[in-house]
Amino acid sequence: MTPTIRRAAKAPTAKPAFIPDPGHVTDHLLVSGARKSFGGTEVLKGVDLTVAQGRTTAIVGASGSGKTTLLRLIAGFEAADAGTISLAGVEVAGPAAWVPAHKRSVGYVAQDGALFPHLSVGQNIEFGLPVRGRAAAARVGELLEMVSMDPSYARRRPSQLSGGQQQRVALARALARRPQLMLLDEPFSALDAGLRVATRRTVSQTLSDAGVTTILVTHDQAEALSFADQVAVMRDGKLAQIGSPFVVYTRPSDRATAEFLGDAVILEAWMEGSLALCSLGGIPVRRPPVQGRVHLMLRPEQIRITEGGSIRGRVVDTDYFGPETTVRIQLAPIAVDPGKPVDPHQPVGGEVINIRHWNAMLARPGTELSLKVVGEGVVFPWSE
Amino acid sequence: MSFFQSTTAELAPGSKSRRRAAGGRGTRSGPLAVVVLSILIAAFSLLPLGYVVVMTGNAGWDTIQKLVFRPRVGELLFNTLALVLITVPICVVLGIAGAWLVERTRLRGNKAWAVLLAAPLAIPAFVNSYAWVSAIPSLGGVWGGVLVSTLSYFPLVYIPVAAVLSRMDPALEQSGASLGLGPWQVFFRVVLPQLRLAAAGGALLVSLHLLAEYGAFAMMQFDTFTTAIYDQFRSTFNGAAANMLASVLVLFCLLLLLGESKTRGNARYARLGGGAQANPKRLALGWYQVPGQLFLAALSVLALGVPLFHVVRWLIAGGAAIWTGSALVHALLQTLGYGLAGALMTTVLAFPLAYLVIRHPGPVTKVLEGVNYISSSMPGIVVALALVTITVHNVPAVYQTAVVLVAAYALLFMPRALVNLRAGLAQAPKELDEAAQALGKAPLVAFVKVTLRLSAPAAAGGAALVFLGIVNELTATLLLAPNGTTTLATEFWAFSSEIDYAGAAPYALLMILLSAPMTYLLFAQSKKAAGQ
Amino acid sequence: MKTWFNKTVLNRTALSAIAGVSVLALAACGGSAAPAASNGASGSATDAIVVYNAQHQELTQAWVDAFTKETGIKVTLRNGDDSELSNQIVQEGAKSPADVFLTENSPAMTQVENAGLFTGISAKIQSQVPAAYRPSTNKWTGIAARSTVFAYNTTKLTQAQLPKSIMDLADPAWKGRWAASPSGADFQAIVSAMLELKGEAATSAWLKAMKADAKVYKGNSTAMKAVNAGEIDGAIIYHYYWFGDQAKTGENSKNVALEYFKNEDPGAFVSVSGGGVLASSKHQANAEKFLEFITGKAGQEILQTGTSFEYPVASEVAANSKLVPLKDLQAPKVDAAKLNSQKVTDLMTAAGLL
Repeated sequence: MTPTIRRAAKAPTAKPAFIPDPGHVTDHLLVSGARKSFGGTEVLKGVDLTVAQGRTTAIVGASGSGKTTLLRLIAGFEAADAGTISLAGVEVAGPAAWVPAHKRSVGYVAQDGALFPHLSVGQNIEFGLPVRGRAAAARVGELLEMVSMDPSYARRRPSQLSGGQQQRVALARALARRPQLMLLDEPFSALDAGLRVATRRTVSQTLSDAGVTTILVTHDQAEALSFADQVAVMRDGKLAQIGSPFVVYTRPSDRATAEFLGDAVILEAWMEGSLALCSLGGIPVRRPPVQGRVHLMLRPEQIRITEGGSIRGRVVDTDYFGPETTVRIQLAPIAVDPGKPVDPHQPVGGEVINIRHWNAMLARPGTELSLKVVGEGVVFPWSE
Repeated sequence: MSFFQSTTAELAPGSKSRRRAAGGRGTRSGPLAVVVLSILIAAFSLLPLGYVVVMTGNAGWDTIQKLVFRPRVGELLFNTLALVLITVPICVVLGIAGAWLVERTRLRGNKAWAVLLAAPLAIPAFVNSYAWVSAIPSLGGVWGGVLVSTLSYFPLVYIPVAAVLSRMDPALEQSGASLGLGPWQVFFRVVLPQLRLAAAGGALLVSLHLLAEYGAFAMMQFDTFTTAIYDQFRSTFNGAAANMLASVLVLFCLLLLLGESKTRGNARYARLGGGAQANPKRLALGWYQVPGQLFLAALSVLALGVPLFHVVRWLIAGGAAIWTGSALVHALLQTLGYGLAGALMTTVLAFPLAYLVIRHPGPVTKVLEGVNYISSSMPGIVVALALVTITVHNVPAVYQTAVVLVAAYALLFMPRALVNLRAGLAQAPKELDEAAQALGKAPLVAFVKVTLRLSAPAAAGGAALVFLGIVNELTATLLLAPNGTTTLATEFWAFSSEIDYAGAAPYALLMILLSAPMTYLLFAQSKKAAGQ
Repeated sequence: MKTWFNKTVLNRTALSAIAGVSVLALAACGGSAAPAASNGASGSATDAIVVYNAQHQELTQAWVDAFTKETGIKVTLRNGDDSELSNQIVQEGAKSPADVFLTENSPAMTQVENAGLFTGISAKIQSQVPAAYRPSTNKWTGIAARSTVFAYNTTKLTQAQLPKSIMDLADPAWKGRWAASPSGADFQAIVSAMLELKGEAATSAWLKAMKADAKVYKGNSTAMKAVNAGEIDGAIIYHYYWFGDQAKTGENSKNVALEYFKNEDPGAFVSVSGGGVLASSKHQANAEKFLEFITGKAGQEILQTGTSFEYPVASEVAANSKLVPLKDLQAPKVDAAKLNSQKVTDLMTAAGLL
């Protein structure tokens, strides 16, 4: 993705609160050591996050993990108890600095769009514009087109729009002032499934065309993975892992992250060198952190049903979902090499795992199947 | 995010001297200034209660014993209790029956009936009493009190119950029917329990009105605590006996509140989803159509027909002589002036608390709300007695000024403004304020352009109801009005207590004309507010 | 058990705290709170006077209209009852906005006089009002008079069945047959005369009997209306209610006749309405002018010719020709200064009438 940067040149823009110094700005947003408590409960426990100019970061986490609080700190709706936040090289919140929300040049789209119900769509979009009249009307049309809506919508009331349209208007409104940073707080969660995908695509496209640095907060891992260049996994007031979508999905830093980001098959395993011995045989692991007893994580799609595979399993039962079927398979215990000495901590295996398969007919309960594993596994240190 | 805090630290970005916007950051307990303001207003609203407590304390046990434990108080207690215990159940039955007929049956002309059943609220109780005493001169005693107050106050039950009935999820009744209940069983076992909260709230309102009413009962020689306090006031200004009676009356009010909150428990109205409202199935009345129509017709004739007929009769009997232009215009203008000033001040005072309740719910807010709930139950006579005594001794600067009367109105009618403002502010979630801030509006600007703008219709609705209350207020106005001030209510009272019923009629007419649109507003609003 | 907390300390601190909060709250929103209502109110820079008026509003209004027409001095009325306003003046003390106080009965005047709040009446007033109708202290003056009567329903009672004395009404034979308006100052003045003439024990017993036997109405008009309607046989009221109604439609008095007890009975009590100028008045001259006007020929003639039907007492103006002349009433001799309103209220409260 190459962001096309269209910065203030055409229509008069909102009064820029800060003149970014392009010379040394590499990280557009810099959050360090952010802490926040509400009534004795620490919601953020020291968060560090950097977002590069023009890139999109998704903060994903379960509800109550503190992700929305972090977004509100960045927006300036709340003040952190400790830590600093810098935007385009300027400290906007910290022990010696405080810039209120309305001077931060930050766009914000809330969960339900937060369109002003007493204003028309056009008036909503104009709300933050410093110009009025013809210039504003032209800009409104331009912004509506930017979010793939017909300019004639400007006269409508927010209540006359569908949820997806409301969110797109909210985005257009937030873009009107050409913010340096766009914050999206679960903007798609109130939409139904089909609309969600379409709206997400439009929004994503619009933002990348505009080259705006974006942070998306979501509890939906699929949304985070598909939307962002960088995914930050939030858990219990901390960022558990930050990385590209591919990396956090395939190489999660811990078991909880692994399970949060998607279905995971977790097996007891014995690490020897770069091979993890488990009920599915020896699985290659890159840079294992420890040796001996571990948990091995595989994604279900890494486990395939094949003919003539070396690993045997018996179908316990299935859940039919149409295009695919979840198959519960009882694995055989770990085969012990009789020649080797057995460590008393070595796992016995024989777990039941869930995998997915397109062919429901194949997997009748009781059927014996043979399986194979593709790709590498990830291991985590053993914990009871 | 606080709109009361100036946004400090607007110095050059990057400067080391920038300070934190202390307090301007979001806090759970709400912006300090709003909290302080709300506490001040709540403390102010506790004045009448505080006055009664202090006066009772100062009176000493001997005086209390002499003035409280005497047969006269027993009589008043009996009268007041009988009034409440007889009137309230009748109002509840009439209110629920009327609401059910109008909202849940195929009653002919139910739209018109719906309005007609709310309309008696436009006729002040003392005007109703005046009409009934004109019709039946010997009317009086407990039963006279019950008759007139029932006809004046049953809409206080009818309106909230009708609102809930019209919004009730028909699926519940259908489930009831599918579980084998007949229509009557469905009504008693499914519908009625859901009306409990609305009916209990209405019953509380009726009770508080019964305790506070003066004019209607004085007109028919029926003595309650409030009339007795006023009699004492006429004989002694603010003597110990008046204060003791006031303290018993206040105790009564507090017990009522306690009783109501016990009935209510922790229950709240079920919050209705945003989904399209299903149209409840209406019951075909068949042959019951006739008795149903007759019942509502009789109720309307008694509650509306009788007062209107007698007002018109006295207007005709009085002829042109009763239209004493200047006095009438004087009273009308002063009523309007006080109504507007009182409505404005009450709404402004209610705003900080409403704001806290919606935006910063928490323990402090809960206490403040409770305080308001208690203080607003104080009858007008107690409020007036407290303010007159406190101002004459401690705040002579405002004694006998419009300020005190307007303050009394604010104390008496704060809940009307509060309830509406709360509903209005709930329509303006803080996310909208924040959205405006993120769009570059300073917090104060965002507040004005979004929150204030969005809550304005509700604020206006609340103000209108306060206005309605002020137009018909009698006791506090009698005690506190500045020298030379007359309102429609006090002039009506001056004429009718001299049994110049014809002379009083134009004032009655004006009060009804001023009240009618506000009553309609109240009715229309209740439909919208149901479920909140 | 005595008082359960220190009276004086609590009184002062608690009330001041309450007051302080109220001032703050009021100040916070004071600006908006002055509607068009306060025109002509107290403390204005003009020479308008404020009259605390316990007399019938209609009568005082007639006086005020004539007075303003003659002198151009504006008058603002605060209407109330005798004891309500007298107590109010006493509590207001030197800060009272009142310039003149008018009552229906003298006990309230005495109360204000005893509090030392009246300035004396002018020589002109003294010359206009006979000594019998003003206290020897000359702190206030009589402005009108009214007689106690027994108003009875002519279809229910004959002349022969009437009580001979007001004291007879305590007889159980009258149980449920007579009425009064005990919450009004008129009746309380009659009781104060009884107290003065018959003593505390007899009065107290009479009041207890009244509590048991009499029907209680709010206001003399209402009581007379009830007599007229036959709800009750008779009522203790003042004479002018009957005449006033007769002069209008007679609707509320057509079945009613008046019985004067005469014979210096407490029930023949003639009550003197009073007027006085407050010492705290900032418009002494105008206030005095007003009182001079009322007791003067023009003012007293309003009593003669108007619809009030009260007796004139000054400037040698005769009563309305329809009234029984004052001198024929055989009223008991009562020193107005000795009528005790506080004691009466206490006795009536004790009897359960208040």
